[in-house]
Amino acid sequence: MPDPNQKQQEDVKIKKRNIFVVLINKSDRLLVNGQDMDLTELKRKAKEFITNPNRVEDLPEFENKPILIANPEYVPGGDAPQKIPHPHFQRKYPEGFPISKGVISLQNDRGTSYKRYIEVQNVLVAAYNEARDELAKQEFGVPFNKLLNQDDVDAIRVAIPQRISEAEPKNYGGN
Amino acid sequence: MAKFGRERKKEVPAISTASLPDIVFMLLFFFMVSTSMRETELKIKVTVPQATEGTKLERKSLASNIYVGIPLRNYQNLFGTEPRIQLNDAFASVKEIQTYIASEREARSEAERPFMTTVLKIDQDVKMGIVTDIKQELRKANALKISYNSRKGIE
Repeated sequence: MPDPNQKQQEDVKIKKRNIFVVLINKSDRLLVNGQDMDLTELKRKAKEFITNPNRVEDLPEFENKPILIANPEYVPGGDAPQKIPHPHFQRKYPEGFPISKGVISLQNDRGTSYKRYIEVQNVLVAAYNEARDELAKQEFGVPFNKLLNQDDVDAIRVAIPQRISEAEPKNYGGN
Repeated sequence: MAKFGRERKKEVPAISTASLPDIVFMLLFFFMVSTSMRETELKIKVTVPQATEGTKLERKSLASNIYVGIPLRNYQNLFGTEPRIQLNDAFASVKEIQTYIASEREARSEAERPFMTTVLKIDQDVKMGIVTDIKQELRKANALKISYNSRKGIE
């Protein structure tokens, strides 16, 4: 969650293609980017949004960045850098790995049921996990939760960051 | 007289107490093994929702629990049937969450504090309004790591 005690960050301008709006209304209906949707479809759409396999124009942009992981030799105040690139990714993608700029925005009403909220949250996380699984299989040959090396786990986490943002609560209509 | 051995009274021999400690220890160990530490007694009905993507909480000692749900039948005439918040053993209002988090933080060592997690155990029928209120309160209290408790479920 964001820290309200810290100075209000400037509202980061996010391009429309980089944002995936999921709205749950007070009668637990889903509205995704303005369209009615059920959970299975939401998962498919979310996955498409996260991976954007065909680099479609109206799905998120990607930015090539090196995959940085924690440096085991780092000591506070020492000379060693805090983060170092993951060797495997650096070898395979010397230009940097394409990291999505997409953000999933989840908005709910005060009248939404907690059960529905968790269901949706769960589906979104499932979509992320599936994408991570695929990347882990592609890069290391094993699914994400079978990765033995913590560095590899961290690398996948950096490569596919889980970005679910919750909007400030609004009251759309009664409890 | 030929009555020699007959004079002896037929006394019941005293019960040997040698095995008494054994029995006491056996009882002691039995109770030690079979008792579990009392967890907070729930005064509300909490059936957490099902989810498939859950992960296990790594360090339970760093978790502080917040329960939300409808009061149980025997508390309903006092507290009504609207969802209520329970902290430790008592009903609480949203306002009290900040003090609760502060006291929970006080109970942990300095090094552990950044890793504290607030576990929300919320009934699945509760509306998001109260959940959002709690989350806003937690943000104010600077408890930014939260976890939703859920049952392992099928898709």
